[in-house]
Amino acid sequence: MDTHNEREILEQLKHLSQIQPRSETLEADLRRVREALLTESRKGGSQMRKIIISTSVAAGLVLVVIAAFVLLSARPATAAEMFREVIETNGAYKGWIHMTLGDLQIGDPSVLPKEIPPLKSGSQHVNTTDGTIVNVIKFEDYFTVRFMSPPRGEYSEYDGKTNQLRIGTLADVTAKSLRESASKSPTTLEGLLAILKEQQLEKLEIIRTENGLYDRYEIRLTEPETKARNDNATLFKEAAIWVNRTTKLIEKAKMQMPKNVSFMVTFTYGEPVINDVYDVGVPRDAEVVNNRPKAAVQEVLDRLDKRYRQGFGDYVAIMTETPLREDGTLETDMCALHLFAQEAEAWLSCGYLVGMRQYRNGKPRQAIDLLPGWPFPDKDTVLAAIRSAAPSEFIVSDGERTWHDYHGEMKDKLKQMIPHERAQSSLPGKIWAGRSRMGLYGPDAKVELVADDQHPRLTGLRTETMIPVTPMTKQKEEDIRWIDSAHDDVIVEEIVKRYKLDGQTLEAEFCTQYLEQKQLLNGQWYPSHWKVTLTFWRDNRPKLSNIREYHLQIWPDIKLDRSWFTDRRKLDIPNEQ
Amino acid sequence: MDRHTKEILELLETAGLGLRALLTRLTQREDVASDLMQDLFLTLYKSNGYRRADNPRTYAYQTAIHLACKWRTSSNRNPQTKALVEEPTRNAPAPLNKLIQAEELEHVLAAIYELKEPYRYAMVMHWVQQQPYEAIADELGKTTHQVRALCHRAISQVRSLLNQTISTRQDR
Repeated sequence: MDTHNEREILEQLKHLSQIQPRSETLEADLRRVREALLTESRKGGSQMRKIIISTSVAAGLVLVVIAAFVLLSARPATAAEMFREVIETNGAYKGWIHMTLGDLQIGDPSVLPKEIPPLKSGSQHVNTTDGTIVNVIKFEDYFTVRFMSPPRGEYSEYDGKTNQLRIGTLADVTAKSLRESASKSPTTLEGLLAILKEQQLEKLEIIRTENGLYDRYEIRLTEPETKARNDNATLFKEAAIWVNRTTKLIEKAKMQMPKNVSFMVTFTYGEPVINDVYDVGVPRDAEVVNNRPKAAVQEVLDRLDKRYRQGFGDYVAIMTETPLREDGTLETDMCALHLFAQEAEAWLSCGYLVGMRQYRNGKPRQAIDLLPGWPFPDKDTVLAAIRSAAPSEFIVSDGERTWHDYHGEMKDKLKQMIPHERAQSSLPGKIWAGRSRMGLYGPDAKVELVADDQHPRLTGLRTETMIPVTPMTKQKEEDIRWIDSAHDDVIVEEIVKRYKLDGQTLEAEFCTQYLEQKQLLNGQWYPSHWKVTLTFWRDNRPKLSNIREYHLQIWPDIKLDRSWFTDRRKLDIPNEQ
Repeated sequence: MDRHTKEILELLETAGLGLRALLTRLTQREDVASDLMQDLFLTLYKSNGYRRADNPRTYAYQTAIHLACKWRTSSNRNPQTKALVEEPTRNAPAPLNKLIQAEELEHVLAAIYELKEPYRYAMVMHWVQQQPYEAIADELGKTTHQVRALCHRAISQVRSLLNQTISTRQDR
């Protein structure tokens, strides 16, 4: 890596500042801390009443009532999280719900990121029957539309500034999530209260008054909780909800948020039906950029997805990773090893550091010793060495439950991430990268077939994806991969280029050359040896960072015992039978 | 309930979410942040320094940063970092992006932990916790101008540490 400048450091810190804890764990954490403190306090003989805080409750309520506020959220991840909260509800209304944001007051402009222009209004439209969701955001001079349709598998975005409509593919996992969440959208006070009860909403005050045709409910956090939430601009302080006494449907909500943000949301139901983006005002003369893959590309992607799903059946595989010195010899003190396995529904992918136990700067390196025969260590030797070693990264599933080094056990809403994580981490995912691994969804993802003289008889796939960096900026990444259709579509070469935010200046290049292919006894081909060269670019000049070599050995039909397929952070493993 | 317990619980109510968010950002691990959160409050509960602190909230944040640093440098820590801003329902970061982001972020964090106080506190609170200079100045009992200078000197030190790290790695 080349030398750093201050702007790059600040970018990294900005990236960190956007990380938000998962709301579903906060409540439990605070409760746990409180209980621990009380236990400590009791040791000293004092008594204490139990205090209940309901962080996620408030979040849940806000999310339910103010889905439109999602549009204004400063953090995309939080926005998605917020919308996913809607899953928790039990509404019965089937059809279109239209939520319009109005009377927006932002007392503290720092609530919104600087790059977001002044907002005027916004609306969200949800079809609870099929999960279609349409967001419209109006700024002073233009408006944007996001259209996600599970039945059509379509994800489009319109940008009024450029008058351009980009049409892309909706990921299956997103489509499923939208269908589920939309079908449970709450539209009645009963629906809301059911959630609040479920989430132990003891700390809210709810006051009902009659207001013409409506019942008006004022919902207010009690003082200590309001204080506790001052740090978090996505949680409300007060809300007023108007419910139509005849239909029992929520028709209006006024929200008072921290930092002097307030707004009104109006709800209407049924008409107008939204068939496409033009129904929410996108001009008919907008330039259409259709990024959905052509039929020939779809065919290749279908093939890769199928091969990824089939994988190697039941197997055990070991992949070694060794840095190369400038003279081309292996540098064996900073290696890594990866174990992959599948047994019926259970599967795992675990990475271990190998070699030195300390970095050159003195920091500890949690590694196992270099194994005899490296880079082709014997399977049994490897398994014995890593049996009770902590992996540096892992994802493991026993077919029912899945554990991940960062996420812990992936349950509830995290479950929807499992297919994505599996595609990124598993061995078949590396060899046959399909739509999920390549990130071929969203309005900006492009994929096309390419061919050139240097790669005769190979199929070239060129993809271009835009990776969200901040709410208003994306970073371009280009990937050209060559696959060998004559050898089970295994990958032969890949070059990934990432560009700076200007979309033109190259930032980094990741070149993988697959040097050898082998066949399993059943005839199935796989790459057995490859080299990865990582190059960073500064001032349009390449700065070679490192070269690594990989060797892969696969043993089909070999089974690990079931104790491997469990949480690898907990290494209370019985001896091998 | 004794006064000290009451004060700590009040701190949990008023600053708990912020402290938990900070721990998540610095460790990039939900499970670790969750454990450290408990350690933090028990440490504060037993700490004479906290009892004597002019500004208990600042003391709590400094302790949280220290605990996160300690975890990162402990032998049990996972050397791999993961970007938490990833969102499954949007365009997922591609492998290269994740790899580079993780590596660069890891180095930046390691450099931050090398900083001395009050540079580290000012830098983390301003750029990671997004606190305005004025608020940090109040907490540290300094002028806004002084805090601004602290933050900029901290960035400069981080840059210098990062460039030293690069030289070390290139020497390997």
